[in-house]
Amino acid sequence: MGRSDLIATARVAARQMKRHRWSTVLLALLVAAPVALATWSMSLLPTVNPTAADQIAGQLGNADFRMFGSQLVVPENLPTGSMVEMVQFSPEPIDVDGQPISVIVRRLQPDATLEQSRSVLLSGRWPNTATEAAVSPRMAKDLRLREGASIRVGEAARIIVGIVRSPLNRNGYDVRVVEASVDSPRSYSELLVRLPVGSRVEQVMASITSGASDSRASYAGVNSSTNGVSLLAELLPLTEVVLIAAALFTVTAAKERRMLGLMSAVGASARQCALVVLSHAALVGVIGSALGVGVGLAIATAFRQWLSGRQSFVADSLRVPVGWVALSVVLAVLALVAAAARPAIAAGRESVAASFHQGSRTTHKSPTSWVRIAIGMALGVATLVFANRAKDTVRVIAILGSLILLVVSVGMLSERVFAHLADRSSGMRPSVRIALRDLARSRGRTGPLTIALVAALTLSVMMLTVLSSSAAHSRATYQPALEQSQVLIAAQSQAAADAVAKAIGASTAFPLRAAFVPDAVLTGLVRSSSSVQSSTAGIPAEVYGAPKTKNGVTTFELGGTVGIVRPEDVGSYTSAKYAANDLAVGKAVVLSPGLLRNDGVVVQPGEITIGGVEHVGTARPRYRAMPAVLISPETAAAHGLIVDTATPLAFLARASSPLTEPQRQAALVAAQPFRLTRLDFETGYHDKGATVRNVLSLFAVLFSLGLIALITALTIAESAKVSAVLASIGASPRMRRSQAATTTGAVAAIASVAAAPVGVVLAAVANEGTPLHPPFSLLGAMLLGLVIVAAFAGALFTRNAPSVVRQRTV
Amino acid sequence: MSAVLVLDRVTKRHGDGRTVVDALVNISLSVKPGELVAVMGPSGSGKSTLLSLSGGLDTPSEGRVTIGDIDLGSRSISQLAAMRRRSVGFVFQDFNLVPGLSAIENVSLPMELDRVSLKSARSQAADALELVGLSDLAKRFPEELSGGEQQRVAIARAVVGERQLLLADEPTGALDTVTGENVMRLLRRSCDERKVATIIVTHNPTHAAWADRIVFLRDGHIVDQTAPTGPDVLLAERC
Repeated sequence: MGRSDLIATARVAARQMKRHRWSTVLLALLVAAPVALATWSMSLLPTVNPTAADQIAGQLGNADFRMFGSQLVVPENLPTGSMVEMVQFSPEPIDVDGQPISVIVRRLQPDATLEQSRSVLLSGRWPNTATEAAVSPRMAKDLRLREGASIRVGEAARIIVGIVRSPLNRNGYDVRVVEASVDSPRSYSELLVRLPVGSRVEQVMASITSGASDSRASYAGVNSSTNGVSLLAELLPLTEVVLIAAALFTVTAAKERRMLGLMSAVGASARQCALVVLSHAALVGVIGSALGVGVGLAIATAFRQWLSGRQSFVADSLRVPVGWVALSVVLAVLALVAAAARPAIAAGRESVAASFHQGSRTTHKSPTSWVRIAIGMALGVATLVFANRAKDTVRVIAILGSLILLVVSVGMLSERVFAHLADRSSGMRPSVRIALRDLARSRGRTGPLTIALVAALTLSVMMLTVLSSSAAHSRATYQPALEQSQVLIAAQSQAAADAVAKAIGASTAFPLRAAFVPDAVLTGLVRSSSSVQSSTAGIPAEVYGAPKTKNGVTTFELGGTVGIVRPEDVGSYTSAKYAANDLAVGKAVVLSPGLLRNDGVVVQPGEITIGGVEHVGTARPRYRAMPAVLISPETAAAHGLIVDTATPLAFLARASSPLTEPQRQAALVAAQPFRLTRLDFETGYHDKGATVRNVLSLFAVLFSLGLIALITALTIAESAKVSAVLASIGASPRMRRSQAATTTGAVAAIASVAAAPVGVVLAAVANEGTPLHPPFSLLGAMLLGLVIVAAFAGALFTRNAPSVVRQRTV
Repeated sequence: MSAVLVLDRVTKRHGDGRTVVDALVNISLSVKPGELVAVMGPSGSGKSTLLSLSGGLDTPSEGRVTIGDIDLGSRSISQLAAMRRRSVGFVFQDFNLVPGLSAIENVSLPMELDRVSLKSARSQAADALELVGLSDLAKRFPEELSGGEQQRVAIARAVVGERQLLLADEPTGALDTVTGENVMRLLRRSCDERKVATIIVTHNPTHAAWADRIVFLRDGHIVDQTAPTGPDVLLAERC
């Protein structure tokens, strides 16, 4: 194909765009939306997240891994020659000359308990007081900080007194400060660990914690993964756009049938005719994508500026990943070309004589065959089964693949439903009959639009079901644990805990201790839990959740902290009648009843083990608000559990009645002298995710509504000619509205009926065995409401005044 | 005999301000029962606008349109629709049959819309199809019919029931000569036998020659009204 005919076809395509300017504008806007979304997120995420990525790299520096643990116990279990540094990842804003920056704060211990640290003082001196700080050489150089300069860490201004290089810092930013007092050298904190040369990092990590290896794995490739997610986020709406575009191009090509016939008549080949339609799509794709990139960048710039103005936020200058943005543009253009492929092929095959024929091209040929529908369904179900067995990214991709296959199959099935209804509509009211016949015969338009709607509604049903199930799961898990008022006191001294307990009227503060459970020990019980992997290293059981059954195997996420019970603590944990002796002699694992009765599942003694320790009974802890796994020190030792029984992780104090505001204030005042790192008040079960869920649910409903409106408008616009003919033969406005309402309502009804089961099934797989709680009333109201809205909008969009039938123009 | 359709000093303007266009200016026209009036004129002369106004699909900017005793300007949109169902039939160049409906369903549609029983509507539609010679093709869909057959279905739909007025916008424009002649013969017959007042817009002097009267429009004005002579004379003298 030469250059001149390419230009000619492009010129004709440009003319098409002008003739169909409204559909062109609509398509360009539709394409622009996902491209803008991708451009926005790709540009903005590296601005706020990279710093997260950079921070992670900076935080890790030359360390091998990062963990949370007791400074006494962890170093003791590391190979000789390991370097350990305590770090604090800036929970409070740090700024230099009013400019917030992201840094690592390393605290110096006055009693120098971290002897493994090998930091080197390059100039000046070590900080001695709370108003002094030392910074890393890179930070000093980049920010031109010299000794005597001032920086602000949280509320306090600090004078720089020295430049210190840490062997664990890889040319990043550091601020080294001195804490005025620390509760105990046994404090738990974030630790950076560098192992001696020759150590097997994975082995050491596995021996310490089950979670650290996953934390470490997450350090790599943060940027590329976020861009991949952005691209994925573009693909979902783009799929919707493709379906709508396919319908629009089918309609446009049908309208331009005569023009394409003229082209053939003057010698255009089938390929050239097809190329006109494809060029039209490509041009719209390019224009829409360019618009999307512009809008995405503009929003990202505005958003970054807004973020920069926030005190607690660090936003770097905008970095646009040109390659990724270009990829998203190419995807959008290709998607639109793909949408136009079918009408383009049809245009190429059009005979000249047929194109001048007055009748409609669409005839009563059979809709998609049952065989094709069955194959599509079977592939969809097979992909779903595969998704159910797969994990992580493969699982997500498989679920999406299954969604597409099922939705397309259901969409094809809807063609047959329309055809079936149309065949049996002879005795129906004229408005209904005409609507059904129109839907059945206009498959090129109705099919993709129905599929688009099924896809949108399926996603909404899936999202609402997952959110509802998550809420129910959360409620079932947390509510029993948090049904009473309590205060979690993250203190390492009994004195601090007692002071807070006294302030809220509790007689005593209940000590919680941590066990470092080797990975292998918990295999089969909590290892499969993603919560464990993301939980703070060193406390693998600080996760919550109800039992999940998958492939016939029930796994549990522990609903509390692993508590190590010393003989003197037994009275605090268990009821008087329970077998305290079992604990004392070190042969029992005791699980609180609240933990094991979530979702109606009751685990009997002997059914599970923890670390090879048999579960022999269930105790009701005095403080049932905190279900815990209780293991005696002897039992733990016997099974190789690394236990720090001496250092309490935190304390729990329970008030006899709901906390009053004065009590809360009193607790805060009591805690003040102890520099507690955490003081959490729980005054009963609060659904913390409710707001997010409500926002997402609202988004799902609005998304469905938006698509319904769009599809309704398109359907009405495309049946305008039928409406005009009806007006000319005396159809009243009411009848024409009734016909329009039936047309749009039928599409919405078919889509709703199809989307409900597919969405719920997909949600069941996406939920990974968590009990499903579909919000039936909400789903019913939404789907029924959408049908009513579609029908109402169809009637509303129909003009009262009759349209004049336009004569054909060439 | 009183006129079925009367246009009394009708003016129709499109657009506003600087873009205003007078499609029709001070037109007066009446059509009696059984009379076939042909409207001729160059493109843009206001022929189609005249039909739209006559059928109540559009409203005049000035003047009055009456069908029988009904002043269209005094009627609501719904009442106008009811009037079209019962009294007025339209035939278009593009036939404009409802695509999903068979021939007999298309013909019976106006009566079904008027709540006539399905049995009665189909019976009358069958009669109308017989009138146009398409009884055998009653169950075919529009795309299964030729252009001439579709136009005959459209005529059957336009005259079915007790229609007083038939408005045809270039009904033969998309047909070959023989088929076009057949359509004109059909329209003439419906005028003569059923006393349907008919206005046809046409560019074809041969077809205009079937009319009782020919109205010539130019730039929205009626420039002449005459009884047809021969097509050659019409072409030479008027167009």
